[in-house]
Amino acid sequence: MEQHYTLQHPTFFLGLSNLYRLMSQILLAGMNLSQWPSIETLPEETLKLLEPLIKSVRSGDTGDIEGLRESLCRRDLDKSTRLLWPRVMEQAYQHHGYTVSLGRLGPDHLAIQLAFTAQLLYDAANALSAGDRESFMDRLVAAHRFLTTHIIPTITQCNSKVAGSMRPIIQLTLSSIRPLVIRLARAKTHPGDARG
Amino acid sequence: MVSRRDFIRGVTAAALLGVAGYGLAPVIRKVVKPDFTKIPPDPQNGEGVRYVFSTCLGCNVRCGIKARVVRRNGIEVIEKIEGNPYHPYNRAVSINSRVEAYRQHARLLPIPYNTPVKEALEKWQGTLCPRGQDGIHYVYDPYRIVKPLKRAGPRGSGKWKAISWDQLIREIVEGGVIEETGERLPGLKDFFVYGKLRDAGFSDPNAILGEMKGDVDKIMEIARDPNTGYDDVARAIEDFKQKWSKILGEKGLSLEDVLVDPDRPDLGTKANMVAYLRGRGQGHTDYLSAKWIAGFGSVNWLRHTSACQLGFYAANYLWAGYTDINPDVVSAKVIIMAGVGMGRNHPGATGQGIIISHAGSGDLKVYYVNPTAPRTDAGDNIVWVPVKPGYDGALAFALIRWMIENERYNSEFLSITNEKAAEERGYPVHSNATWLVVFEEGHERFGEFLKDKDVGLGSEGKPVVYDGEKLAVYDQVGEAVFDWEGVVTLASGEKVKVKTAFRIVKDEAFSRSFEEWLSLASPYKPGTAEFREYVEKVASMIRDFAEAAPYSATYVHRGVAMHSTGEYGVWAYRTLDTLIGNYHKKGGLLARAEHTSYNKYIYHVDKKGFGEPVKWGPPIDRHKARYEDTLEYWLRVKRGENPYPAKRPWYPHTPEESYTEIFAGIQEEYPYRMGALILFYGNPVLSANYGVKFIKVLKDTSKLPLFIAITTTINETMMYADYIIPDTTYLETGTLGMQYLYASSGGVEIAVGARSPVIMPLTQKIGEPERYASFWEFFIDTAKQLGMPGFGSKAIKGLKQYEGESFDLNNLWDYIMRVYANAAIHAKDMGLIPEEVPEEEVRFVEENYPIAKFKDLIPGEWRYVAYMLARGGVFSSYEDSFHENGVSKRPVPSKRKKFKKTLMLWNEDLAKTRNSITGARFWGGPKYVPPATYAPVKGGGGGFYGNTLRELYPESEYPYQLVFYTGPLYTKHRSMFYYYIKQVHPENYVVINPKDAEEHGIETGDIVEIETPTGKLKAPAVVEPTVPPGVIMIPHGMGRWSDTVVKKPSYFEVKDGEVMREVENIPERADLPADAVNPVKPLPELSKKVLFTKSKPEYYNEGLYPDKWRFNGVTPNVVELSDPSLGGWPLLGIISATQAFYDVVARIRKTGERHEFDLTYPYPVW
Repeated sequence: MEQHYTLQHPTFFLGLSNLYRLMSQILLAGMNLSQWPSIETLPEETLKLLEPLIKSVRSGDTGDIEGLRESLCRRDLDKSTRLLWPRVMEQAYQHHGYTVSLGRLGPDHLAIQLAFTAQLLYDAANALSAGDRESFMDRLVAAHRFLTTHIIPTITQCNSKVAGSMRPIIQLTLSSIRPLVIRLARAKTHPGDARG
Repeated sequence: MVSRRDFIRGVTAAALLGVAGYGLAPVIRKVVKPDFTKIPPDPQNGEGVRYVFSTCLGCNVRCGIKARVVRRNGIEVIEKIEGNPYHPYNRAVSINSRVEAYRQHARLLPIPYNTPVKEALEKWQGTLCPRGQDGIHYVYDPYRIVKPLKRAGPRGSGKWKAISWDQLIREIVEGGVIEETGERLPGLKDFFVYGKLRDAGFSDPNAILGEMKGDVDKIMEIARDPNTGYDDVARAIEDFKQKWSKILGEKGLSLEDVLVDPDRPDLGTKANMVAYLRGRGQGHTDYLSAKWIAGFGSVNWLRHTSACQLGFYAANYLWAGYTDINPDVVSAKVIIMAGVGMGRNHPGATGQGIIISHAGSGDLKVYYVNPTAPRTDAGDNIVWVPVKPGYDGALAFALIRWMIENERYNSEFLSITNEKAAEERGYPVHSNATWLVVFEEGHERFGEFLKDKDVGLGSEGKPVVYDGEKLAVYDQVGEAVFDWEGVVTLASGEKVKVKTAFRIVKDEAFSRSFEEWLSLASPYKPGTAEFREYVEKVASMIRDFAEAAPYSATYVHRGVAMHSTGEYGVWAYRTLDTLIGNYHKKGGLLARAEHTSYNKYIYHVDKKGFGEPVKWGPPIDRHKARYEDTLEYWLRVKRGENPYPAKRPWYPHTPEESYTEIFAGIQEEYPYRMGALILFYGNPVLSANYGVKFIKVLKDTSKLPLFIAITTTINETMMYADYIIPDTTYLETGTLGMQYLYASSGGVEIAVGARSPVIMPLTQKIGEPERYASFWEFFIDTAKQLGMPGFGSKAIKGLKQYEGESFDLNNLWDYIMRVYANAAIHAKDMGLIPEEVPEEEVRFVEENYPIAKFKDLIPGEWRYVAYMLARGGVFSSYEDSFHENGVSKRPVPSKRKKFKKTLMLWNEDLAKTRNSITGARFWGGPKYVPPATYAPVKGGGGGFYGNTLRELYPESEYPYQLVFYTGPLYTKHRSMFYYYIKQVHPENYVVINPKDAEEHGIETGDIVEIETPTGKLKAPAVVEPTVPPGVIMIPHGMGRWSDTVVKKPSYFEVKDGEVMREVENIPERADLPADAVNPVKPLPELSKKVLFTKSKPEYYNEGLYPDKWRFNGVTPNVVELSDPSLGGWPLLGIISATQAFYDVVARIRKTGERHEFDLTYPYPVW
């Protein structure tokens, strides 16, 4: 019950959103596109989660981090689809009401994708705190889908230490929100089960 | 390793970072920017919201719509268009049902007509396709013209200036001058013969015209008389000229003032030099324009039908005497759907929902015969049978052969000889399978029916049958042998071979084996596994068709018909229907529903019968006209010359008009020269195959001295006009009136939509009461200015209770309210509208409909009109539309003078008709004829058609066939304003089968060049198995270059240097006053943003901004085939003069360039 309560509280989604913002910013800093977040002031528990990423970025090569693009990593897609992939990402962002880009960095770069995930989770937190259950569900389902269809295949297939260092966080995120997504989806198709 | 507990702690702690997140937010905000502003939901009810039920014009199908109009900042905005649940095409879906997901499939029918409108609004919804919903952009199109324009430079220069309505009417009637070039334009008055006679002092111009026509008829009698010679005919013409020169001369007129050509009086009066031509004609635009042309005295009221479905119409006409026939999609169990674009062709994407729903639930099996795959297989109940374009006839003959070989035809039906016998046996019609045809090769009567007088059985010229023992007159026996041939002795003693009409068809079917027929039709090579599979699939198709009979039918349309020999292909399919006797029956084939007497019931607003001038002569395109009825023909015969070839073909068996022959006729001044063309809502340059050929004649003021266009935007044809009349859209007053439905009209007995304004027009206001620049007021004002009968004071005669009274026709409302009154009172008298109309029905219309402000014009009928308008038309129910034996309650429609209920397997009239160039007689029944030219171009021939296209363009040179496809999103080329649809499917491309693509190394996104015998175009490729090998397909509707704004095209080139020069001369841009366009600008900012979410504000605020979505993509029409045997004009059907869109041979080449798709391909629907 307690866990259930925690996972449906706006605080959890706000924290999750911040975690993804931090991951995005760390990657951007690794490419000299942003300043490093002030690591020393981060809560200890949060820093513990991010340490492997910080370490791998600091020790990694900028070029490797720049190569963390879905269109470059996804070997399961054919050549022409990979060529069009940045457009797929742009449309995905537009579909949710956002323009997501940073200069020359492709819209399919992992840092951009993480920033977008952070935004979806932030929207979910806001909707939940406003009692707008429909928007909450919409954003949460979108975040879940985005993680499974874009971020997981990218970090899995990028064959990079940096990408690999994020894997536990992404998987724990999914395992935390998946039961809720399933329950919400069932409640929509079977209104009688909406309670609980 | 991070544990779950650590993760939750880390996340919760991160929440403490807050929204600002220690400087995180600015960084992320740089990356993620909101693309929207949240706005409140659209108001659905209450103050400032109203609903109007009307009729769609997203395509030509005329589904019902329900439009929601919201007042924002004092301006009314159409915000949403949905379906009309009363309408048989839209069907009804329950709103707020607990099982709404299932309701849609459960309901196939509309709500009962007597359902209160309040209930319809609250509980029911009608389905509607994306085009219908996107109709909002028709009204709110920044390129719309709102003021009259006159050209301000040479024709086609793109230069325009605004003029007043009064100047427009005055100059068009009296004649005007193009100030910038000094050109003097003729006025309509120069051709208005009735007015000239009246003004000259003839008190009864019609008496003069009537007598003149009588004299012409006498000349023709002399010409046709086998005992007269050339001198007799020449003398008759001279006598005519002398007589009429004297009569006219006495009043100061000459023959040249009255006749097109005094030496050829059979061509009619000079009024024929004025033509009205329309593309899309709906509702009462057709009737009012036809009334105007009749009032003018011209024979040239012309339509776009050759670019629409003329081959289909002509074939049905030859077969059943009626043009528009297709299956009862509600009760049929098996449909062979050949050449019918799913999501487009009648009954449109919305109406076809019935078919897909039925198929999805397993109640209907559809065999989809088409070069392009269907969009759904509906759980294996829609089966794709690909076919080689143009070879549909071969496929149909494989099916006919199977039916006959396996004796799966309806012997009882085929044995019936006449109408009375059919009725006695429970059939609404009969076939002429039993009628005997003279089939002696080389005999002068070859192809004619054996007649009673031939064999001494009578003298009336009636067909003869063989009853198994003896010959008999067809109406003297009820049954006869249908599969028979023999030799009969004529009364003259001569012996001739005869065959029944059935036997002729059978012999054609048995001239090849089932597999041989399919080897012609199939895109797969004989001997391959694909071909074997194909043969099995086709066998299943015909087996299922036969098993389900009579609840099976062929559903045929443009894909079969729009070929050079497509008429024979359609007829072959209709032979399958004849074999099972399904016509005019539930689950079989049905013609259009009946409509109400909307033109003359209590008010006479019809297109004729109002004292219009007497007229005669052939139309410029020679449709429904015989060369052998002209003096040209007889003078050549009498001189002892071979009368063939004629200068251009004549088309006695085509029921409607031909774009190609209209423009070829004008260019070649055949059969006479043209003076003025009024073009409404049409775009022949872009919508005909190889229509770019027409540009030259449109620019030539010596061939076409006056060119007037009525339109919402200036298209590729109208850019050559002298005057532009701004028109209103169908959501304002455009195409108002009552709308008949196409076959099969949802199967109902009576179906007629009503179109009334959703909002008042956005064009310039020109007077009171509520007169706006439009089609309507243009015709009414020019008619009044000319003094034409049928318009103005007391021009509408009363009927029934108004007998002896007359009413004014001074504006649109005078006319259209009486149209509604006729329709509603007729519907009341038929019991469809109640005598006592509930007050709330009237109140609903008065509170919601702009038309209600004119109710005082028809005070006695208003309540009934309101009831009708509240439902968007008059619709009877499907359940009440058939007798117990399944025969439709509506009368069998026929436009034949005799044999009105006879389905022809052999048509004697066609068999007696000659090809106007070769002089050979046409084949008089269904036949496999490969795509061909009209006449021979390289030796051989001399038959009823010319060279086959594959003789001229062998597969070794042009291995592919190019087709286009109009799907559920776009409708021909006027769809470019559909901005909601553009966001889903913004561009087009060429679809290529993967096997063909592999051969050329083509991948999706490669730009390819397609070359045909007439030209080349470039387009991006999409590799998909949705077309078979050997076929390349372009989704239709794009490739525009003029839509008020001009953007010179660069995606194609044409091989004919003269035509290419005209393309090169298209201006880079149009030049017109900004305040003459764009009704969108005054809308509230929010409405504009919702309408044009992806566009720059320049587009919707300036109105002359060249938005990329208006001009992207390609159209294959520009490089489609011409006929080298007829001067290189666009290729036509040899019988119907239909535009042969689908006979395009092509080759393909990879250019090495790549295309970046506008959105991510694949697009969800094409």
